[in-house]
Amino acid sequence: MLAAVSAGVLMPSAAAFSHLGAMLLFALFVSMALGCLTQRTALNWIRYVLRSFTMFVVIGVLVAWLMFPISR
Amino acid sequence: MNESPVNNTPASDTAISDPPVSEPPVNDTPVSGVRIGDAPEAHTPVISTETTPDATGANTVRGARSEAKRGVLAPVAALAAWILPGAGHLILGRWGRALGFLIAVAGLAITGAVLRGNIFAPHSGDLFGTLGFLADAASGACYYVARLLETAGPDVSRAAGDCGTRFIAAAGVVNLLAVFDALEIASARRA
Repeated sequence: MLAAVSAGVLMPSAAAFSHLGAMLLFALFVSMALGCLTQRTALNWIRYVLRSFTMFVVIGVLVAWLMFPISR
Repeated sequence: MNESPVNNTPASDTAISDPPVSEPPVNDTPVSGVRIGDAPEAHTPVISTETTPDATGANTVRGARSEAKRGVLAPVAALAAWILPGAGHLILGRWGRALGFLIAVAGLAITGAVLRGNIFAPHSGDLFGTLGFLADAASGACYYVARLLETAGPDVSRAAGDCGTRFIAAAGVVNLLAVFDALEIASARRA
């Protein structure tokens, strides 16, 4: 099973992730965790995760564009 | 001639703002005396609220027992939460939070391993490596799962590998938050 995983059969390989994909995954997982910490009901949790995820992505893209002039 | 108004206010004045007395409903009360929709407590006998010395003593014993139980449960829940993300909340009966933390922490750790991030070893010889290990190991069992999955070893020469290193460290930090949350819930400082 480990060989299958390392060959990318069971799981995607590192090449399948772009920066954007990694950022989206990070935003999703962290939003889920923060939602679990702060919200009590399932509906509030879903709303919080959606709001937090959107903020992560928007701010991430904004910061990326702000850094664009100084990129190589 | 000034006539007194027809509607004289009676001596036992009711304020103008008092609502009119409502008429009883049309449907008669059934023979049993209980109407559908009545709150159960409307028909229960009134129990004296005075506490007897025995009841007070029993309450004190019960309170001491629950304090002792909380004292044991809190570190157990925190330890379980560290070892397996979500297990602490599972012990405390918070199923939703347990699942959420498990998915978040495991997802971050596994993604970091797939991206071939650096999973710091216990004995790295420098402060940066030690701090990295502490952050990674805070994810509990997910640290070892990530090490098992990363069969090809880390590759931080590429940006993806660098991201992976951050993912695994974030998994540890998020799990630490879960541990503190479980501790607070078990200590009755949070709902």
